[in-house]
Amino acid sequence: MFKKAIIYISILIFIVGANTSAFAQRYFGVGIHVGGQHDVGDITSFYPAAQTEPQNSAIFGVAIRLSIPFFFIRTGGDASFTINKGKVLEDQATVGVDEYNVQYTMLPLYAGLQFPLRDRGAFYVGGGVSYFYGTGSVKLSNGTSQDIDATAFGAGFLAGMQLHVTSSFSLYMEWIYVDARSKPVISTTGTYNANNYKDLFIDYSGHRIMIGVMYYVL
Amino acid sequence: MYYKPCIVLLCCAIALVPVSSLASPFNQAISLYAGYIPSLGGNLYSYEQENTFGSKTGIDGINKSQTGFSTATINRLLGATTGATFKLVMYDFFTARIGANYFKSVWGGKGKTVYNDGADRLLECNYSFDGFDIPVTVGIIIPFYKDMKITFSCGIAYAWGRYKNKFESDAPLSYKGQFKGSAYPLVINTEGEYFINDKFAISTSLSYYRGTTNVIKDSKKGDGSTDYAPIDFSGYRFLLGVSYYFKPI
Repeated sequence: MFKKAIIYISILIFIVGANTSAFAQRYFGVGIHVGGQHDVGDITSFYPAAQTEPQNSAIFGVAIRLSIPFFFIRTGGDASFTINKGKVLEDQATVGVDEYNVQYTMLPLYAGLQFPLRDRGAFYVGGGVSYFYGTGSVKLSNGTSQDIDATAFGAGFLAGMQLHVTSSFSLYMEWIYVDARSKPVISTTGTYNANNYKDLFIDYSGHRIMIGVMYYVL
Repeated sequence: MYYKPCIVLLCCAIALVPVSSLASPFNQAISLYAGYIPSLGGNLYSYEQENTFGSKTGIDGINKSQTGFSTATINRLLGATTGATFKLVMYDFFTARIGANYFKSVWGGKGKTVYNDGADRLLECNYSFDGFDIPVTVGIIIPFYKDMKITFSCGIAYAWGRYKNKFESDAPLSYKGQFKGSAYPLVINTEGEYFINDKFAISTSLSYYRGTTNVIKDSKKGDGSTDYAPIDFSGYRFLLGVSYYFKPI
């Protein structure tokens, strides 16, 4: 059923795409997308020797895009949802963390150049910043659990492609990389933190791949 | 060991290729650009940060806080970069490039944390990083009519960097480190150029560098400590610029 749906949608996109030409300029679009991120909250940036089962998350978001012939601005909002929690597999007594579950909301603002591929689509690359607000929890090595409440601001870049399906709709695929870490928000309970400081920060850095549909209002 | 002669030979080859004839299958271009480097220098690990301040992950792990201490988060460095690239275009679809880039940290790397040397103490931290690199890459161009070109290229760079750190507390304690060294990082670059006319283009590119020096001994004397650190050139670069082609495309 799922395979058939993909085949039918692909054929539809191909037929519509092949028979459409002379699309209007796209100035303002609103899109929705789904995506994913691997190794959310990367605990090895806190303790490099930690053997972990990385957290994976799905991303659902809204994209808002302004463009003139070769410049674009991209903003929107994304929310992550945990697929599997991250786990520290060995030596938890040293690291101080057993398990972690990071969920976040990301507000991106990127700008750059886009390269229109005639009336078929566009390739674009931009730089910018993202703001993160994270929630979730960390299960510590002493068996207790602490909630995450951590914000961060980071710089990164965005690269993407759009395929114009009709004069108003485009499919898009984007790759966003952001480098962002919060301040320390949790006191870990391992021997690595002998002085009981707040030492565990939330690492939002990483690559995100997203695919979606954009409707051009103008 | 053979990298340096190879780079010199490749540079000479690129510079000496004749392009005077309009019928020549070669074209040349110069690009000027500027951009930024998130996480310049990586996590800026050094031995003293682990041995004295308990951070196994350099600037990331040094951040700690404690009630009663006015700490301020020490962020990874954000670098600014600028440079120029000389491009040789062969038969419209192939390219060889040599560039020169300067980079320097412009944000992050400053703040306060706590550490324990028997008693909890406030520690002021400062990190900075600068250097230059000379990337040499070869790649493929996909031209789209007379409007634009998308290029993918890869190669290596000669990179030289200087990483400095300073840690001061009221113990009294002051550690200063300075590490200078070079490496040959791998370079991958994707670039898009949008032509305003047949000779000028605006461009944007994403580059990824991957390479680290060996562990280098601290060259800062007189602070009573000797530190050791690698210099990490790995990371992404986002660039915007302009290109001038010597012959019309």
